[in-house]
Amino acid sequence: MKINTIKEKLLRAVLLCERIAGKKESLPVLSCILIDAVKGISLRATNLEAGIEIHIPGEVKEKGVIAVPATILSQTIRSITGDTVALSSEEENLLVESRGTKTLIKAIPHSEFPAIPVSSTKKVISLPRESLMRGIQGVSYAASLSMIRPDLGSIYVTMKNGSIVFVATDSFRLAEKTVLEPGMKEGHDILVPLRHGNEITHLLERVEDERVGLSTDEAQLVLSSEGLHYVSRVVDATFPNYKEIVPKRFSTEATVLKNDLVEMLRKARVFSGNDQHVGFHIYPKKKICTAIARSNDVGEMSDSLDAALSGDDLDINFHIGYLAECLSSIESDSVVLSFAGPGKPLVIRGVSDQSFLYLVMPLNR
Amino acid sequence: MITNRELWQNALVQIELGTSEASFRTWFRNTDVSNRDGGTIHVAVPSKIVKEWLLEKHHKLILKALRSLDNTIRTVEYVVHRTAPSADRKQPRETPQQNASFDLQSLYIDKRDNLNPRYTFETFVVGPFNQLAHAAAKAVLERPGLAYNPLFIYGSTGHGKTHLIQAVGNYFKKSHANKKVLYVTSERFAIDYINAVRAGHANNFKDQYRQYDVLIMDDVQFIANTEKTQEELFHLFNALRDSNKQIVFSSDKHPVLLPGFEDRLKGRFSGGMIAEIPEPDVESRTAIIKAKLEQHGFSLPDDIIQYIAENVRGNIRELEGVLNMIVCKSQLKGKAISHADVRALIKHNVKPNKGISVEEVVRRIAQYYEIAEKSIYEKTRKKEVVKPRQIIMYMLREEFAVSYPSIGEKLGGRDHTTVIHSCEKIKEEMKSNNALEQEIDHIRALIHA
Repeated sequence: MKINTIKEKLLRAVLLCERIAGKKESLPVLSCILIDAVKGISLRATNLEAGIEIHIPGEVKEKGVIAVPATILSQTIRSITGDTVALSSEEENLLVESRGTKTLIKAIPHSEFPAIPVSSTKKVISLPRESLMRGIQGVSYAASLSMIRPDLGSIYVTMKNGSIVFVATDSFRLAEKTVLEPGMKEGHDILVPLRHGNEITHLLERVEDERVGLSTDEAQLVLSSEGLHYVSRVVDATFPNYKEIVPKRFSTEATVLKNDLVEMLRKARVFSGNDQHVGFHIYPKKKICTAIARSNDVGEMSDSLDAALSGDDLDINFHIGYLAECLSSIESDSVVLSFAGPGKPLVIRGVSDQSFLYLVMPLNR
Repeated sequence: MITNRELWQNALVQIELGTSEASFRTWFRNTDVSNRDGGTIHVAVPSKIVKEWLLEKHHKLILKALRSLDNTIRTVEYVVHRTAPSADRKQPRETPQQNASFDLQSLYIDKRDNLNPRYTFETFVVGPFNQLAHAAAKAVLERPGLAYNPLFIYGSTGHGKTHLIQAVGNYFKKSHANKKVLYVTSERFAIDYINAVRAGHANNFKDQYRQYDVLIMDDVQFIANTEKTQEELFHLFNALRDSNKQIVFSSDKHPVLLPGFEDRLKGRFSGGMIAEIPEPDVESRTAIIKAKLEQHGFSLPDDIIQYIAENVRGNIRELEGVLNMIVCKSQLKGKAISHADVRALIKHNVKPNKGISVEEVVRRIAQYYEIAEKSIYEKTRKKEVVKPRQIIMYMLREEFAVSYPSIGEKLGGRDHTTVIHSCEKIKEEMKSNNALEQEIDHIRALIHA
């Protein structure tokens, strides 16, 4: 194998591949990046759950395939200062040459490197990169970090007529983001494991195309954009019919400035100690809306929030993290906190923003 | 006959000898046999990448290993796990313990077939009372479409009809991945039909329902008196049955006693197998309580279980409610729950046979027969009043042990011999008339409700 290519393109591809390549695999070739220079130049990596294939521009002088450990290759390319890089195979090694530097990397037999099934028989839908990214980022923090219950450890994506809906929940809170997409056809829904969801946003941040292609079947999804194909396993589980838990009626409502809430929660975090609890006392008739946090070690704080209030009096406690995490996904300046009463979930929305819905359960006391 | 799992374990031993250790660990970790369909073995693998690899590189080895164990095996197919546990099973992060969580448990309904995966045979408690229905359902699963078609399950609310028929659907779905199952309530069916007619594509509706291999319709009694919907069901039934597709119905009454149904439909309901799920007996209730407690990961002393089983009569749903209450209470108190606590908790669920007035009995039975309450007390001897009146007398005597003279006196000053005669008559008639026996059962449930 003998190829010449642009360093920048190569580096970008290597860095993306490195993230995907297996970390602690018993098969050494799975921690490698496969450089395939048979039909054009492409780089591949997989950890068996996900896989990536990236085509890069360059000149193929001699066809061939070689596999080298991902971390070593990325370290090498990173340190190169020249604009172009020449890669060639020398016996069982990869020789990297650029502007006077020469590096020899020991290659690994690649016969056991699996094929990455990037071509799917299913129809490819074209999606705007922005909305896909915003949708996943808007809800991913609410998914459970464990895959013990696959549906809760995943992001649920549904294609509706004219919109795409992203939902995630770890059963303590739930985030739903709707991205309008005119021309979207009703399609089937997929569950993307959180880890792959985060990987997708990371990828989307690094591609330039306006639109990306997505195709899914029961077992996997394929994301494609400008010569890049990303494949990951999807979960074939049932997502709970979450609409049922959204309260229909509310007993108390408070509209506050988002920044006030953010500041209050930041302070409350300091004073709440290990518990991370914050209590709200909302008395609409007396026009009182106070947040209280205390711990025996630090002290206590009590903030009164400027708010438009209505409904019944209410004392209710929440976990600070659960409240704070959703606020960055709300684009409007004011947020509406709609309480359904003690022990019932609180609904948070941006004022005049119907695209985002957040549900959080109070503490049990 | 060895099980699929054993077969695969034995095959893996041979495969391991034929590959390197690293390669074996990488490609055969988390694999299993998902099911066997004649000579075809379906091997479940964690991802599509693994699937392609096995197909390309190890297919011969796998087939050889399997065939050496069982020479009837012809082919091997690879499927990606439906919900494969990923290789890493990270412990969930510390969750704030006092935070309440959404009750999602009841919301898992697969939109493709409306089945709730919670209802399975594993969680279905079999007792003497539902043995027949359970056996019939199992027989249906062994030879779908052929054994009993349709399978008709009936019984009062909360006796486990829905659980049983959904379990049939879930089991079928699991064992025949390529077959289509649909669970639908009769109400949903009616709404779908009306919507289809309104939108002007009734034909789509027909095609849509005819594509299923197993159709499960819950609570058929709700489409009583809907002529067109019933006609549609009739045609659907014929179409499915003719192509040996399995149909399962549930209802609260025996098909013959379903009011507001056309005879031809009733006849078809009765054409397969009819199984009743009656009220659970004490032993079954004990078993159910134990099973439910296990699901909660909770335990109670035997004497308390016995006490609940004997005293909380009525349906299983109610029993579940009582148990939830007990579990919740004991978690709140943080210590074992005593006999007295249980007694206090379930006092509202214990139904004494006394404590319901004669007037109330009359009112409910009159309502059941849709006649004026006061006509019972009058001297009228119209046929439609006489029978209910006799049944009232019988019920008062049998269920509440009211004396003959006082029954007579309360029902418009009748002689006690009239009452004795009425009771005897009903008793006698029940021996030969199944329909009457059914009616009495329903009335009994109504009075104790």
